Amino acid sequence: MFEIATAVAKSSAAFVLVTDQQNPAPVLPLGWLVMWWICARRKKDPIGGWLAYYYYQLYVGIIFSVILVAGVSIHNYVPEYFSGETQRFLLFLLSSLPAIILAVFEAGVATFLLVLKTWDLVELLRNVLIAQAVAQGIGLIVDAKYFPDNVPLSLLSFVPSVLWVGYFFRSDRVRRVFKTHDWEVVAKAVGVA
Amino acid sequence: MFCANCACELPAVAKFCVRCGSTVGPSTGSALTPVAAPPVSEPVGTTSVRCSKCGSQNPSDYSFCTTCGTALRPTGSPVFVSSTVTAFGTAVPRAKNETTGLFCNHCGTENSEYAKFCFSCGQPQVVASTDAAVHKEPLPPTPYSSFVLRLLVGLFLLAAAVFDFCQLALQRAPHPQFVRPLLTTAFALGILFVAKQSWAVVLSREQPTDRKLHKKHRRTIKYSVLIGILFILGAILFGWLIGKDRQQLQALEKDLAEYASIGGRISRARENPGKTIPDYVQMYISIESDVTTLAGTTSRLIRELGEYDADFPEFHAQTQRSTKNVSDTQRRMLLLGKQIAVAKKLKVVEDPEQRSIWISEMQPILEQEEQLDAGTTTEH
Repeated sequence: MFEIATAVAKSSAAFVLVTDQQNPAPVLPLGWLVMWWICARRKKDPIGGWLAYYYYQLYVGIIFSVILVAGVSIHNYVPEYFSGETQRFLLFLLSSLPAIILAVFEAGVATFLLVLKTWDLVELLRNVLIAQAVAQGIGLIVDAKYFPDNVPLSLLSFVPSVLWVGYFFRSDRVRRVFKTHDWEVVAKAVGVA
Repeated sequence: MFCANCACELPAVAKFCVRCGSTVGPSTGSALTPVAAPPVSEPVGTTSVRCSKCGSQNPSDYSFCTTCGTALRPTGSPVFVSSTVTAFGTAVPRAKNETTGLFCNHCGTENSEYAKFCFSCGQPQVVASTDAAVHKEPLPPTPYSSFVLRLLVGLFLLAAAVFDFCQLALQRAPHPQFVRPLLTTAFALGILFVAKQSWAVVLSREQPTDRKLHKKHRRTIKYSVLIGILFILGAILFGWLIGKDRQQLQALEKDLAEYASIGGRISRARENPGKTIPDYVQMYISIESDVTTLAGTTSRLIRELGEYDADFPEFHAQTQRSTKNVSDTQRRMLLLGKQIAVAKKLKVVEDPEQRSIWISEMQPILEQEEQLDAGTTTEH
């Protein structure tokens, strides 16, 4: 949830300071904990544990982002809002838009992966996640230079992205659910997944 | 002439069968039916093999010497140039680089995919029952990722076009600007067509013979449609929101520019009107249209600034100041309107009467304006 929501939330703060009402940070940890608890209880299921958490945070993040953008920060994407500051507007777009577009792609690929459960889609998702981490890295650099107020939020979106890339490359669950399709056998044999 | 042992057609000079190596008798040829015998093709190419025992030249695809019956190559060595014996027994020369991929386990000779026995050593062959069995390597994985990637790119471009359409329509943009989303739509539809072809490849690779696979394919289509709808709805929502904001901000910018321009003209006209009442009257008459226009502009601006304040609460203080200025100008325009009305009255009367009207009617209005200016100055 942090990943996308913070990428969007920082857009609210790009031009002006975010008020306490607009800042989603206090709401997120609670949702984060509830989701983590639900996922931990579904450890034996193929789509359980951290993989289930990935899907939860992805979908909740998308819903949260749509609400946040439509309700609060939509004005930041209006060029006229940056009247006389075209370069600043372009830098703002560079720091926030690629990550949001890639998040939409990520949600699409992840959904098809959930339906089809094939390894080639895992590889595609990895590439999208890498691209997103790169986009957020660029956003972080731009924010550090031009929008220093957004740096904490950029970091909050960049770090989880990198962690998810690592997860999809290293996870045994991902390999067994989407490649060898033997998660149930292993889960039963080992007892705990 | 045909071999009595394997019914292979042989050259007239052959003493031994080229396939099985049996001795060929003079009476064997007439006893066999040529139709039943799989004929050996003419030697392919110009290569020939010299018999190590008798020195006779033999076509390179012969296994045994036609003169002495000696094996022409050691067991296990492959035949490099072969012929394909079809299911109907006719021989079709195979190109040198064309292979069936089926090799005899016993001698290594390449055989036709229809051969039940090895062409060279006669050992029974495993008959290829399906196309998949002909291939030595397993098929590559079903290209779901190509389909998904193309579909998502196509849907995203389509959503981008819808987004563009929405905001341009709300801004009442000129027609040439609509060429951009039209081109994007065309491009998106092209990519979606390619995605459809990718899906056809998936279906050709995975024939939905079992119910589970069929269900998976149906779910994929269902999710594709759902994702497409969500993309389009998102594009309409954000296109409408951004278009509305852009329209509002553009209108505000236009009115502010008009406000500054007309306000500047009125101020300049009022700076040095002259010294006599007729000079003043002339000045008031000259700014009448500007005052009327600016009064309308200020009314619009007050409404637009109110909307702006609601949408951009972070700029509340600045917006409030602007609204106050515009409201003051609106009041000033009201007073100027009154002054113009008095000036029109002054225009039609002569000097003594002009002076009394000026003092009784114009003076109080000018004092009100001065008070307004003083209040504004004090606040600033």
